[in-house]
Amino acid sequence: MKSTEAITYASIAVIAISLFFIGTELTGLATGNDTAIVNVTILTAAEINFTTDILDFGSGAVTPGQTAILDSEGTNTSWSGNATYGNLTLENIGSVNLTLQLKTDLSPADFLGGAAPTFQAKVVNNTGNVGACTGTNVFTNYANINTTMQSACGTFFGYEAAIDEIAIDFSMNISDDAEGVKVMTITAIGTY
Amino acid sequence: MEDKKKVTILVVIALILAITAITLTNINSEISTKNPNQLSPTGAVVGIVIEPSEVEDKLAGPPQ
Repeated sequence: MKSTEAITYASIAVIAISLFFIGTELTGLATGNDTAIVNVTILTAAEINFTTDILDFGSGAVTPGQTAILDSEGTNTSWSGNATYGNLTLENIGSVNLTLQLKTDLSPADFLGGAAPTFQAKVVNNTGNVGACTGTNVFTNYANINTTMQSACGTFFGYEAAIDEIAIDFSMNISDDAEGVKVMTITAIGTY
Repeated sequence: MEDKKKVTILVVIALILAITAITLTNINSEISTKNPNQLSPTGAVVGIVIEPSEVEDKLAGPPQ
């Protein structure tokens, strides 16, 4: 076999293999009567939104020698400030059920400071939204929330208007050596 | 001479297609590490102002 023939065969082989990877399609001209299809694709929209995105526990001091216990349902033991009533409200404003995970940007120690602080969350269906959050919920009762994502609505967080809102309450223990302005971000991540 | 010219053209075409195929394969082989169905995180804020606790004065005697 001459070298030019070998090169020719090799080139043809490379072309064939390249076309296989690139992909080839036959095209043609349609003739005669034909039918047409009207195709409508309805896309799903997935989005969540904190409709209440600030929870302010106000200001106060811890009773000396005590550990203050505060929550967003009115508990303010050993705390000079007012009781706090409220929560964060999260709504599924999309058109598809989601699963939900929550985390914080700070540990309790970095958020509150002082000796042995705790910070906990509780996730419940918002008033009038029975069944909004189903499946694995680490935060059925007050449970530690931290910088690691944890499941809040493991099966689904509903999108239908009657079941698309959840409320997130918080509880914390603050020692009497903590002080300062404290701010923490709660992050919610939905997956569909 | 004519044959050599045809072979050269064939080799050039083969090289171009090979490079194109390799490039396209590499582009498609990039695997995203992000779940495509995961929404962008949304956030809310919790805040509190902790005032200094009053210091107990253990040296103070009973009121006169």
